[in-house]
Amino acid sequence: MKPLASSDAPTVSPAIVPGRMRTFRRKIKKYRALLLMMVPGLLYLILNNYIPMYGVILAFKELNYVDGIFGSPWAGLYNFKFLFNSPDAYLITRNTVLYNGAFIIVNTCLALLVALLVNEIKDKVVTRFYQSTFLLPHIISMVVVAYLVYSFLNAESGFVNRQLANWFGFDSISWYNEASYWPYVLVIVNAWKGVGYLAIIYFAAIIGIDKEYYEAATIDGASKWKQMTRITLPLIAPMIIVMTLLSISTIMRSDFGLFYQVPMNSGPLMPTTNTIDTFVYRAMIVRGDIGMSTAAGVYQSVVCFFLILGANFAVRRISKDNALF
Amino acid sequence: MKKKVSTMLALLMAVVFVLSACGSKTNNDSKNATGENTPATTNEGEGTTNLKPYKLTLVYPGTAQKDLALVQEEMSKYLTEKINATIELKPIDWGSWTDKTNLMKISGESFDLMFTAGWFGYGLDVSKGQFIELNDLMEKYGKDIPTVLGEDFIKGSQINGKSYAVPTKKEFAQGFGFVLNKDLVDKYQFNTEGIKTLEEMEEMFKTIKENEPGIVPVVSNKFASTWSAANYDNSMISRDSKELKVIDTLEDPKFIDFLKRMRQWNLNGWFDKDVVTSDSSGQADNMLKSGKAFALAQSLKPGKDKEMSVTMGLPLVQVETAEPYTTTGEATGAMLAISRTSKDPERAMMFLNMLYTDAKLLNMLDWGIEGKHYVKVSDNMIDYPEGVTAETQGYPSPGGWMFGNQFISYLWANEDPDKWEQFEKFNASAERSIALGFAFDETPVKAELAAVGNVDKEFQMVLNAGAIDDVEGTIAKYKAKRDAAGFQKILEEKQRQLDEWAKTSK
Amino acid sequence: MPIAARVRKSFIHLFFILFSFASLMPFVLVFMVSITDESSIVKNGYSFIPSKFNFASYQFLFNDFGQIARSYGVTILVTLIGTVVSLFITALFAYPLSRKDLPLRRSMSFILFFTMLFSGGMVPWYITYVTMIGLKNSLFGMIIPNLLMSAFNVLLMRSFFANTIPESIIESGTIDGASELTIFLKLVVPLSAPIMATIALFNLLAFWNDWYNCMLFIDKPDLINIQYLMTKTLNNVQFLVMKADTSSQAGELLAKMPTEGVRMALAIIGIAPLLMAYPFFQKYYISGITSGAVKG
Repeated sequence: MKPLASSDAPTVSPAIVPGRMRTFRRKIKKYRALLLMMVPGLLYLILNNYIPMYGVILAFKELNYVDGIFGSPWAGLYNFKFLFNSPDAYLITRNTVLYNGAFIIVNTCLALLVALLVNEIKDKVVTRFYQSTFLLPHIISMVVVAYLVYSFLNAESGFVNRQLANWFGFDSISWYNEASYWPYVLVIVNAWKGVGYLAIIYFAAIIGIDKEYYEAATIDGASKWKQMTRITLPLIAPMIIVMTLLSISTIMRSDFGLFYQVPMNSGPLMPTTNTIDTFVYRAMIVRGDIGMSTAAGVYQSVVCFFLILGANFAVRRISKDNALF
Repeated sequence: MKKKVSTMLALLMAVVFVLSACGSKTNNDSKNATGENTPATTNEGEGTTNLKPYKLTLVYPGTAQKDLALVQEEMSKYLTEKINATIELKPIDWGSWTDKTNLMKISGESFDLMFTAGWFGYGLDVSKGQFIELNDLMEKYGKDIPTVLGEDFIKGSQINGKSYAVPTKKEFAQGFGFVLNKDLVDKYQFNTEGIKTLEEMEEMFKTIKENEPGIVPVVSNKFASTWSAANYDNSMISRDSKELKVIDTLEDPKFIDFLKRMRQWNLNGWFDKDVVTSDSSGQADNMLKSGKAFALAQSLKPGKDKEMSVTMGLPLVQVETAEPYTTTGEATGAMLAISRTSKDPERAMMFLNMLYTDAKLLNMLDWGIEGKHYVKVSDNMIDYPEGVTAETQGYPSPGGWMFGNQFISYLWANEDPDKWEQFEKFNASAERSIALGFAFDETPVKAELAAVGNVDKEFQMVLNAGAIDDVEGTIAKYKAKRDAAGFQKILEEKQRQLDEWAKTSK
Repeated sequence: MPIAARVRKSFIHLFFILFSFASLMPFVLVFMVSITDESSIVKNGYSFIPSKFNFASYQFLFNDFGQIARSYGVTILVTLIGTVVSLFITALFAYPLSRKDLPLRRSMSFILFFTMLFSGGMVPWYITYVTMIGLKNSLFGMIIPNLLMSAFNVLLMRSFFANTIPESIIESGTIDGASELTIFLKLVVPLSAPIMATIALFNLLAFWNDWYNCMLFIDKPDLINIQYLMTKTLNNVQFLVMKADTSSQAGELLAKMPTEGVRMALAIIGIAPLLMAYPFFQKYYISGITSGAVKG
């Protein structure tokens, strides 16, 4: 918190300040303008994220309103008990991680495909139209998505059972009663909603690539396919790595709307649709206990923290520049 | 700094409390003889002379109406005359209630009165200290409330012998059964009078199934929950039992038989195909509306069928499958509590007292301003003013069942003029549970409850809807998983609290 | 070769036509449901070609036209201010992070990234905003909390700067004696049009679609934004469905809630302006991207 010492008149004798410290100070001074640029963002992070972090202690408290957050008695690890004592503890963790894993793979592949293909279209008007439609599913809420899925899948009058079953001659299926179909349904719904968004990020990265690379490649007679795999993909690899790392950081969290609202909170589907967040939510309906939901959040964060440290470490070893930190 | 102020305030309040409690006792003894006949007028006398102006805040679930501000102003005018107070009505949308009120409570936001209910976090809020104890306040400033409500309501809503909220006077029991499509009932001349056994109901379903191919006999699996509400107090004490013994319904042969019967119903094709989700998707209601369904399970009260006929848009008739039953859940079905953050709990109690005695105030809150939102057609009957319809009115009722004494609330022109007399009769005749007034404190087993809740969700609906072949096998699986989640500990805790309650309440 | 190229081209178009169809269809469906007669929904389920039209849902909603207009106003104002400020803060934070020689670079990245992993939860966060800055019932309540700078967007931008802005450009600026801010504004920003446009678009969507902050921080009907106006009905319905098992009262309330048609109409009203404005800002968005391509 000391003001930056001017290098001409050091306030502390050089014997005490090691050389490294001095070069560090000089560097700070040199980059003062850059560091100042970061101040608004930093202040915001402190206000929006770091100050409220004291709330983590709620996970270890038996909260009552009279004593408030700090005054309430400690509860030890009791708030975590409901998560780990449950016979479903393994199932919900597995579901959460596997679904997110599937989402990362499916969405990344599809988004890359879309981004690469859009880049091939030279007609601007058409490109614009296609792009406009990509992002549309992203902007509607999951509640509406749930209604849409329901209109397709409901057993009595849904589009699939009423129309498709007739056209293709299969028996009508009681969708909301059969857990085995839901891994596919959820992956499809998630892809439908998320691919456009990701594709736009990748497309922006592709557009940023220097055109000279392609010109050179065309002169050398490289095919379109070769250009994609040898130029485009390697050059946007950093973006892919960042996006994947970011997805890993949320691998323990699940989109509540997707897993709760889209399956219509149907009991028989729980073996394949129950995730940590829906589990916590269902538990909280009984009692809106802030301590317990905070505990679940802490559990998710801690696991993610180590996962991301590992992933980041791996990336750092391969390519230092692409690591997140 | 803030903290210090609030502890000071709390201390101060405590002192005021003790003082007022002491004062009220001596006061009461002398007043009793003279004051009993005209309690309302004495309150008013006090109010206008020496009360400082105060703004009351009333928090309740609902959507803000277009004319909310107008009604608020009108109520404030009236309240200023009576108890020198104004009021702020603060409806909070149902969907955001949990988040918003949790934050209000924990951040110590100041408000005076809040809606609460057994199914809406009452026990939890009391255990966390959000609501203040009302016994003394009620004795001093809310004398009319016990008279209006009667012993059963007050006892039923207490926790460990103390009142933390005042219940709305409304129906005090639940009836159980179905609402049936009246056209079909007439067509096949079903008899809907009196209590029907399940066998008698099955006759009807069978007839419908055989003769009406396009119509589903029973939509939704709500019947199972209605049935258990009729047979168990809070899924833990059997209605037939005369002793306070907590049971596991899954071990009760009566319940197992019932689940097997549901399986049979399902095999007979009496349920709709989406039975597991049709309640939550609203499809059950829609099918009934469109005449594609014959019966919908429903908790009942007098005139329920007429009420639903209006909302559903086709004639319905109700049939009971069990006698009305009163449990703690009924007594705590809708209440108003005073917050610990209220700056003037006495005034809040005066306001509450008026909600039970002052028809003018209550009806303003329930229906809006006379002449603008409704017109009187007789002494206690009202209708829309000319040119106003249900769609265009500026103050759709927030729900009379939430506030005060519903029996002094006006009735609409299309309602039964003697609705409230019927309610009185219904309330008096309902069977009281032996555990009426017992409220389970969930705090010691909250982790177990949370885990068991998830297990219940997984199995209950499937079993209730008879959607699975092997009923007994599923029950065994269900029980094993529930035990793993700590179910036995919950049972033991319930029994322990129940025994304690029995000792103190007798 | 030309034949192969043509075949390839038609395949690409076929792919995108299917893709667009899948994206658009549900919107058409929601719109059709909102103008379908209730009886027709009940009889035939959701359908693209309703047997009977009915605009009652919209009539019902436009009874309170004043509220809808005011809410649009709030949303538009908040979205505009929010998007601009947010883009500014994000870019200013991301650019230094992309400079490999920046001191404290790793710590700063970590400070940023850590916020994506840990949060104190809603309660202390809310208390901070309400008691420390008093955001209750203020337009800023919909602008500042959680939306002003997303760590995710910063990292995206950082990655773009690091990978597509040639170091030589920054060096040349330094040699010319330009200050860091000038280098950033005059040299880096123009080269970053694609990512700026993308992040601006994401911000815009986030502000437009936000109802949660409005729900938490706003009590006054005057300040309610259009998304919350739309979402609250859906939320109310869901909440009551959940409570219907435990309370007969909830079941009764549910029966009085607006019909499916009204809920769909609400959804349409919430997204319609965005859909209508979409082709227009899409134009700038694409030109932003392509201008970056030309210069790059």
